[in-house]
Amino acid sequence: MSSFKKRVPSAQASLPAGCRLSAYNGQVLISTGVPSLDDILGGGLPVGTILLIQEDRQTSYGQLLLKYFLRQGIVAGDKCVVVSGDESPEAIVRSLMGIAGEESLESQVQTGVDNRDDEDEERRQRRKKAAAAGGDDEDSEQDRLTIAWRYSGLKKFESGVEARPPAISSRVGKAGSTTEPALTPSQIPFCEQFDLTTRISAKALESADTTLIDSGELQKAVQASDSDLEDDSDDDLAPSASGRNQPDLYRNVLDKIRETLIQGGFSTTLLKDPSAPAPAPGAAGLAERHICRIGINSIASPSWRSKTPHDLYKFLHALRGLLRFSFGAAVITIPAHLYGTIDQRHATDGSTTSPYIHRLEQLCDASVRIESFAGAQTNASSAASAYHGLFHVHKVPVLNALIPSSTKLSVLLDGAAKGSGGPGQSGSGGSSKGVNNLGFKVRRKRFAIETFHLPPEGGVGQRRTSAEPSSGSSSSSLSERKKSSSSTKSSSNPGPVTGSIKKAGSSEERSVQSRARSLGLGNKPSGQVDVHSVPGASGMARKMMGLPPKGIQGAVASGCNTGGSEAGHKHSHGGAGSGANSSLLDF
Amino acid sequence: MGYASLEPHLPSSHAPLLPPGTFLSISDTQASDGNFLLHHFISNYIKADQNVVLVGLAGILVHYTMVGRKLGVNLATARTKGNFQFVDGLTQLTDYAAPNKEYLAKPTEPKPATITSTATPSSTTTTTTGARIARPAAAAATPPAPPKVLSYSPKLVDLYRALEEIIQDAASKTKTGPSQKQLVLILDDLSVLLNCGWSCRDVLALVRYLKLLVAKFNGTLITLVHADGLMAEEVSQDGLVKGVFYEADYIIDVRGLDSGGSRDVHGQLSLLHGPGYLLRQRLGQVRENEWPALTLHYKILDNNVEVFAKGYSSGVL
Repeated sequence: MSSFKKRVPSAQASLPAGCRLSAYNGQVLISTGVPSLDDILGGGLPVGTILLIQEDRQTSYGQLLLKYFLRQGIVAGDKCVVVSGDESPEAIVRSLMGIAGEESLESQVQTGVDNRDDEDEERRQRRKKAAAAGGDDEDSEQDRLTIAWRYSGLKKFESGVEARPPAISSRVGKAGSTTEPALTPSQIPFCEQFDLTTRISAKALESADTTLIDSGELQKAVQASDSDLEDDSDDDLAPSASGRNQPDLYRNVLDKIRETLIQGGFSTTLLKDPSAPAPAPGAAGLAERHICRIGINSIASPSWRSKTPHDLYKFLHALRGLLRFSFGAAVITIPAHLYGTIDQRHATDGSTTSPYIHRLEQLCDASVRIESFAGAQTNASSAASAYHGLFHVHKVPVLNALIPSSTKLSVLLDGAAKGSGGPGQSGSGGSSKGVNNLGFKVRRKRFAIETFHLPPEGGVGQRRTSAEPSSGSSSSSLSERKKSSSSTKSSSNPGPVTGSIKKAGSSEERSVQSRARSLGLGNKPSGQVDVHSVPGASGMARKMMGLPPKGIQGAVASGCNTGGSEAGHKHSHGGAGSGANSSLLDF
Repeated sequence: MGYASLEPHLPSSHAPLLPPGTFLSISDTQASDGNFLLHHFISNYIKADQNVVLVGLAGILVHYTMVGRKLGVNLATARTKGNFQFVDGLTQLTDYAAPNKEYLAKPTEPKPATITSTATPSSTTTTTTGARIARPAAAAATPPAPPKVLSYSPKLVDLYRALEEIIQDAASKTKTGPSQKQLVLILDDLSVLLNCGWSCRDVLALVRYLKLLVAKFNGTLITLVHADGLMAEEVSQDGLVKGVFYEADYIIDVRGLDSGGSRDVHGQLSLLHGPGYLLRQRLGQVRENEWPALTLHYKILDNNVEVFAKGYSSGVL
């Protein structure tokens, strides 16, 4: 008899439905509904935290993320609290997306098409086409690398994060006979796959446990009570008008949320009936417990009236205090572009937000910003047509640990986890902030965040480039950089040196560049660093300035110069690896 | 001990602790959180068996306990011993959160530990306390009492009074021998007070009062404040940072690298002399080279922080 036994995770069973434990710090995580966003947050959104999403302009991708969050909650049977002012919360709930493979189940089974993603279909079609044309394709088995064959064993280059394939087959059998709530808590997937082309089914809507708070209605009620209060303020006692009884929209919303949390038993410290004896901790089975998901749509939009700007700060601080001690998490979207100066609103860099938004970020646990190309003032969209916009990560949750768990676990944020930890790289630890630039794509069926890279120029590209020019780089420095890339050396001018160091920091040849960086930071006047601009950046700059692309001599030359032979190899590999992507980007 | 590589760069006169009667102000930015420095001082003071009063305006007790465990300090036992006092400044600090109290399971303490001003409008919420206290306090089984809570009050003076009582309590409880223990009062995020509606002037006055208060108890004050460059546009934020720096003896400024992110360097620490230090230096109260002002780089690891001179990161050497 063998002594080896398959280890059955018993700790997982005691978790609430649709939750999992963080691999880094043991935090209970819930999914945002988007696998790539879960990855950025370090596996998922920790229970008890607030995620702030700064909305895009002219498009509604921010609301889409909020819908994903709520929809995932409905799948897991969680309580969903929807707060909205501009749009009625009911409309938001009704317009939630459906589960992939749920609606078109019969047709799917008949045709045998794995209906996962249209991107996959594209790839499959392309592969067929390439096979028909007899061209080389990295995916096919017969076409192995002939020159840089040593790199064929490396991981395939991927810019995104794949969700775990759902157990469609099991659901096919189940969906016909039984209803969805028949799933036991352990069977509920951490992150379901959704289909943007379908709507939520009526059955799921019925079973959903939602609380809708229409802040527009509340606003009216507040104003009504306000006028009432003014009417009978003469006989009422004066201090109440100035203090707690003062009508206040944010206070009302928070009171409603608190009431929901307490009535649903989600809070661990605040009890529904304080006079009842406190239940013994741990007595209630965690498996039956659900999470309260709070989604607030477009907070602080003009329809949310507040007496002072401090109202929202206080709201967030109190909400954080509430959530920290309850089984709940909140996703809040805010039209951040309404609060900024002109140049801040038009900036394409993630570092510029208004002080007001910045203070809000301090009070939240995580903060991301969506910048869609449709609403951008620059014509950066023409340079990267494969993406719908940029995704900026401003803050990731740090709970019960010194460093955020996403630096350890995230594939998208940090290049180290991506398998780029080659020889000579320590690979220990991660950076405190994301190294990769991120962009997002909205396919017909799903929203995905991927590492952002420009399409290669002339067919040969770098494996990963930092393309996005910072706001600090004015047009003069851009032209400087262009010049330096054409001459492939900028040894004398200190200005562009620092600029291109910054850009180079996120590219592949890390060991070389980190040495260069710390030399440059050491303020040594003699520190002449031969730093070459990343070709992607200059290409982007050229695009944005309306100049024709210059070609790739700079890229090859700089790669060979900086990294020596190793970097040169990397480039060749990058060219080979990104060939699949280059055909993806119709550029 | 906290972070061994940071220790040599801190004031050397009282070895692992800060000199009593001083005020250390830590400023950080969003990209580089300065919270890790607080953990250093908490663990140092607990290890040296001194008193720590931590006011969690942004963080909760669990967070500090968990990180303390990683650093080899058991804050739970320190709490039962009375060395470590945690003051909850998160759940009931604002008037928005005031109704939380109505739903609390049991009275926090038999004696009123939470200070609420009775003459303020918040008394409307405290009217229910009579009914609450009348109920038998049966389920007081857990040995460590719940952390003391800072309740809402429109005047910051009341917060000061609450803290004063807690500090006096902590100092008197552990005063056993002839030598008084050292005490450190840590406010984990001063910016929260500003965000919650108190004026910059009031917050600065609170800092000054607290500094004088802890000096009486042979103690040190440590505060954390957010000082992003962006925030300098706001008068109140800028005023708070400048005002706190003006009060300080020692300043540690934590910020990210100017050149952006790096895998081996998470940011830089600038150790600066505050006006208080210069004053004492002029009076000859500080030794030569007690606290050399310099800029260092740091990298945060799982359970330690590496502090090193510029250009000495593991990526270079």
